[in-house]
Amino acid sequence: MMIKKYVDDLFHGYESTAELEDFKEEIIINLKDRMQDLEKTGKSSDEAFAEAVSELGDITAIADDLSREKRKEIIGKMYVDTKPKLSAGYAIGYTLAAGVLLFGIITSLITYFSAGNNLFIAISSFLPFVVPAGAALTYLGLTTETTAKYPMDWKRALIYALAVGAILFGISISSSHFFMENSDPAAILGVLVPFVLPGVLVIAFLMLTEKKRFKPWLMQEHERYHEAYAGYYKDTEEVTKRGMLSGALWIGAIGVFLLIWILTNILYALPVFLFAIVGELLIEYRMISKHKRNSATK
Amino acid sequence: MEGRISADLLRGHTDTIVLGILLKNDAYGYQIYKSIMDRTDGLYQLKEATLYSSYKRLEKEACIVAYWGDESQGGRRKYYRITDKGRIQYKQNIADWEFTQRILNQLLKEEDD
Repeated sequence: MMIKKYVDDLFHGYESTAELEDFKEEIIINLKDRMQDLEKTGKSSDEAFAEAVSELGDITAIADDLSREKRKEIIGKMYVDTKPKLSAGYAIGYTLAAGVLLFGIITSLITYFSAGNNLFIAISSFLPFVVPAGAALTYLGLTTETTAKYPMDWKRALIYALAVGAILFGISISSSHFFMENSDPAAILGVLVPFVLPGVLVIAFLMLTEKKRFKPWLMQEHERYHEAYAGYYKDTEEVTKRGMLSGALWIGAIGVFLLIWILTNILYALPVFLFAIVGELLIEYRMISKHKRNSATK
Repeated sequence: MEGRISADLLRGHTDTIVLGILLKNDAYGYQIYKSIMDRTDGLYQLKEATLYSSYKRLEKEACIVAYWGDESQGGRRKYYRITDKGRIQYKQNIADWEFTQRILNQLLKEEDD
């Protein structure tokens, strides 16, 4: 029952007292009656629920009086000691990686202009910088503990970093080939595919098998959010499925885009994104109609 | 010129409004809420939370007593009954309000004449 769950969540963190339970029961039955009346006027159960809940207003002041213990410092838990400090090693690592990246950009700009606006040489000279910097930033980013997430296991992060490195390597090599005089499209794809494809596959595999690294308080927040607003997407699983679907769609679209661009012309490649947008809309539509069906059978 | 309601002013009289509704017969939360909405044609929407704190306050002052009904269908409801003290309080509040209203009218409309 939506209402019972909602009210339970509202008082989540209050110490249970006889009076509070009494009060909860009263609120629940009143909300139920209200919802029923609203449904009689032709509103859907979701609409009726939303309206009834909005009419309830803020009951925390009353609950504070009723419950001896106030909300068990959920807010405290959220802000105290959750801001992890960056270790010196990581700070140096980030700075170095950013420095290398910056240096690479400057170097390639210098070569670009001194070599008579030759993009081939410019990108080639960018390559030795962007690959290690990109990989290093990926590794550091994934293994850094943040307010919301625990660090990733270093081995896993290393695989990510290597895959990102491979992708960057493939992209920069093949794009420098692209600007080389008398470049052969087959050769460009020939360098792109063996690096980018395995890299993308590895990352896709890692992402799909990813374990959640959210901190407990965030998980609690998510849970409460999902339970209280169970209206739109039915559950986390559906949201994940939807995310994967559109992720696959966009990765595919970018792949096709690159392929058409290299083989023919960017003008022919651009419409791919139009199709991707249409696909995205279709996914959204499917999710909504599925959700409607679900709530109709409820 | 159409008037707008002063939410603060009305909130200050929630207790009296609740007592007034309970004068005729006992009622449970949603009945009280609905009868306020019906009377104002939905022009003013009181939050239910305001009513809940009013019940708690009135209960503490022994102006009303709460009891659970014995509905067999859909769950029991908590009813409120006005006490003798509540009736006296209600009359006092109304008298106070009428006095206040008279004074306010005299003060606010002074400019007119």
